[in-house]
Amino acid sequence: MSHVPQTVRMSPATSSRCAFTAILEKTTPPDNYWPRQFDCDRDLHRDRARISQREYIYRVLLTYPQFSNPYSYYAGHLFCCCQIVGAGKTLGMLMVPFALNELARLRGPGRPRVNRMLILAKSTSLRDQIVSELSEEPAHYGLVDYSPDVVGATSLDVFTSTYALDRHDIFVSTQQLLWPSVDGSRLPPDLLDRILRSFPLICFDEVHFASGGKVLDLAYKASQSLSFGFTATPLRESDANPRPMSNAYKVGVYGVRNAIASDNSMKGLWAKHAE
Amino acid sequence: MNPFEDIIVETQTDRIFLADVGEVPFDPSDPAHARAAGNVQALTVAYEVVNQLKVKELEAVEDHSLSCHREFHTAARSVPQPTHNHASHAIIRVDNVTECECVCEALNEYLSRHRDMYPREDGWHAACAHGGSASYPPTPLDSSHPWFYAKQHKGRVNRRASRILVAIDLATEGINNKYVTVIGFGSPIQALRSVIQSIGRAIRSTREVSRLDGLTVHTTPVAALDNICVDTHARFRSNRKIIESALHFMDDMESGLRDIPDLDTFFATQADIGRMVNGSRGGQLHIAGRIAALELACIAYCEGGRLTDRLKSRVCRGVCATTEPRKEIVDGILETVWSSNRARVGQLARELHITGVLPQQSLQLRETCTFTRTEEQLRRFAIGLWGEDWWRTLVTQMGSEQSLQLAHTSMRAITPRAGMYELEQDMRLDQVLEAIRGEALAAGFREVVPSQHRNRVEQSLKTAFTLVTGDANCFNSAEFNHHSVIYTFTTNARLRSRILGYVAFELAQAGILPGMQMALTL
Repeated sequence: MSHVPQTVRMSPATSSRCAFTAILEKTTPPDNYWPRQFDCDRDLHRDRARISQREYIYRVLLTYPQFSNPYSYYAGHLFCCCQIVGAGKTLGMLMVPFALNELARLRGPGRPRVNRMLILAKSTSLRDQIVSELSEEPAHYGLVDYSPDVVGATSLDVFTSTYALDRHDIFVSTQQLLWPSVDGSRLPPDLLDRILRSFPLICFDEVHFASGGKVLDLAYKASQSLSFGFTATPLRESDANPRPMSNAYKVGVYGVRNAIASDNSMKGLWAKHAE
Repeated sequence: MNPFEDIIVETQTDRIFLADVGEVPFDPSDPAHARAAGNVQALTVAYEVVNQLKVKELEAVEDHSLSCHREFHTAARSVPQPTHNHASHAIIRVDNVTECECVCEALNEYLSRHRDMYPREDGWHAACAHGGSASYPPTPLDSSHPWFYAKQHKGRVNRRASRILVAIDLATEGINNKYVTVIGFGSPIQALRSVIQSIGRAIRSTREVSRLDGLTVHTTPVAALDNICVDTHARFRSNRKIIESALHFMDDMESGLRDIPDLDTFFATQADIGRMVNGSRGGQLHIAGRIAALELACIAYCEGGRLTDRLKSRVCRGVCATTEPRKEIVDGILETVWSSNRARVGQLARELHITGVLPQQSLQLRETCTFTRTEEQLRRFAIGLWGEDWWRTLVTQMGSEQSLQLAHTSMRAITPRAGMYELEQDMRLDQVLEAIRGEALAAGFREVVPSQHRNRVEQSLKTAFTLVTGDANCFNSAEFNHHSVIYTFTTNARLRSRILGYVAFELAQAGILPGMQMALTL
C-alpha cells in the first residue's frame, strides 16, 4: 500500500494565527534565547549585599560622578577600600565594576565601562580562594543572577589569549606574575602594558603589601585602568606605630564599630562598657 | 578606663607542665625544667590559652546573656537571640618551627593528662602549621587541616578536630575560621599590621541570620563566645601596648586612618591642577594634557626663558582640546619646543663658539663635548636663560665665580644632548627632550635657585609630593633632599612631571619664575 502525501489545507483564520505566532516567535525570542551570563552592566541586587559592600563601596563610588570620566584621568592613583577583617571584601570587589558601570549609564553614552576586571592577590592560596569565592558566592547570595566566569591565571598565557580575554569576566592572578624579572626576559614592558590595557579595572587584594613598591609600580603603569585596593590594614610594614600607607586615597572605612552598628557581624572587642 | 582591659590577658609568671607533678612555676635552676627552658614564655602563654578556652566553655554553659556589644544594634526588625553554642577555637603564635613543634607537643601532652577536663572527642587537641625546617617537615594549613574541622562541619567537633592551632605566621590573611575566640602571642611582636591581621582571625562572629514572619532574627552565640580574648606574656614588654593599639585601630578605623586622604581631597586636588592651567575652563580637560602643558612650560622656561607665539598656541590647543587625539597634539607641542630649542641651541652655538660636537660613540659623558667660552659669553648665556634680574640676584647671593660655574653647568646640561639629537637620529624625540628636561630641571633646582628661595622650593616640593602621592609623612627634615626627590622618581615620568609642574607653578605664583608666570597666564 502506497502512501500518498496529503496536502494540508488550513482555514484563513488558522493561517493568519500561525503567521502571527511566527512573527511573535521571531521578534520576541524566548527567555533562554538570551545568553545567561554575568554582565556588569546589568543591575546588581543591592539589597542582598552586606552593608559593608553596599554602603561603604557601592554607594560611595556612586557619589563621585568623576569616576565616569576616562579612566586614564585617574591612572597612577590607588583608591583604597579599608574594611575590617571579615567584612566581605572579596565580594566587595564585585561592587566596584557595577558601581562604575552604573555611573557610566547615569552620565550618558560614551562613558568608559568595565567589562573585565583583574584581581591581584598576594599569594597562590589567596588567588585560589578568591577564584573559588567569586565563582560561586555572588549567585549563591543572590547579588547577581549569574555568577561571573572567573579564571585563576597561573601563567601569562591567559592574558595574551584573545579567546581567554573574551571568555572570562574576572581574572585573578598573583601580583608576582606581573613583576618584571631582573633581565626583563619574562615580562617585557610592552607585554605588561598590553596586559594592563586589557583591564579597565584592577583590584589589589591585601593592598598593604603594596608598600614595597613593585605593586604600586603596577598601579602606575596601568595608564588606562582604575586601580582599587582592598585591605583591613592600610599600614606600613614592620612598624609598631600605626602609620598609614602612602600613595592611596580611601574610598570607605569600615571598622568594628561600623560592623556592630550595622549588621552585627563581628565579635566584641570589649567585655564591658567603657565608662 | 581602658575598654580593652578585660580582653588582654597578660601572664606574669612562667609556668610549665611536668608529667609527674603537673603544672608548676618554672624554676631555671631545676634540672627537670631544663627541657622547657628555651620555650618557657611560649609554653606559659599556650597553657593560658587552654585555660581561657576552658573558661569560655564553662561560662557559655552557665551564662546565657548577650554580649554587651550586641546592645548597640538597635534596628527594630532585627532581634539578636543568644541561643547557639559552639566549640571555641584558638591560635597561638610562636617564633620559629622548633618552638611551634615543642609547644604543640607539650600542649598535647598536657591535654592528654587531663582528659577528664579536656575530652578528645570535644576537639581538645593542638595541631601545628608551619613551612617546615631542616628538622621538621612542613605542615600546610589547608582546608583538610584538623583545625578547620569545625568550620567544615558547621561547628561540630569530634576526635578528628583540633581546637588549638600553633603557628608562626601562617594564620594571617585569608585564613577564615569564625570559631576562633582566643589568640595567644607566645613571642615578641614587631609589627602592628600583623597583630591586627592575627586578631582579625578571631573577629568574625558566628551569628546566624534567618527570617521569620518578616522579622530578621540574628541568632548570636552567648556572651562568652561572642567576645575575643588575647593572651600574651608580661616578659614581652611591648606586646601589650601593640595589642592595645591594634584593638584601638580595629575598633575605630576612621580615626586610625584619618591621615589617608579621602576621595573629596583627591578630586579637589585634581580640580586645583586643572584650574592652574585652564582658568575658568576647568573640568573639561584631560589630566595628562594639563600636566604635559605644565611640563612643557617648565621646559620652555628652562631652555629658552620665553615661549614663542606658535608654542603658546600649541600649548593652548593641547590643554583645551577635547576632540583631537591628544597624543598627536602633545607630540606636536614637543616638536615645536624642539624647533624653538634647536634655533636657540644654534644661536648659543654661534655665541659660544662651539668648536664641534663629537660623534655619538664618544659622547658617553657630557664632558666630552668640548667648547670654548669666556666669562662674558657665560654671563650672556645665563642672562638669556634666566633673565637679568635673576642673574644679578645670583651674583649677589653666590658670588661671581660660583654663578659663572653654575652657568657653565647649565650650559653643559643642555647643549650636548641637543647635539646628540642632531647626530643620533634613531633616538626618539621625546627621549631627547626627556633627557634635556631632566638635566636642565635638575641643574636648575639644584643650583640655580637662590638660597633665599630654597625653602620655598623645598616647601613646594613637599606640598607637591604630598598632593600627588597622598603621603603626608614621607618627608622629615633629615631625609628630605629636593634633588633626590626628583631623581627618585625618574622611573616614573608621570609622577615626576606632576611634581615638577606643581613646583613650577608655585614658584611662578610667587614671582620667582617670571617666565613660568608668563607661560601660565596664556
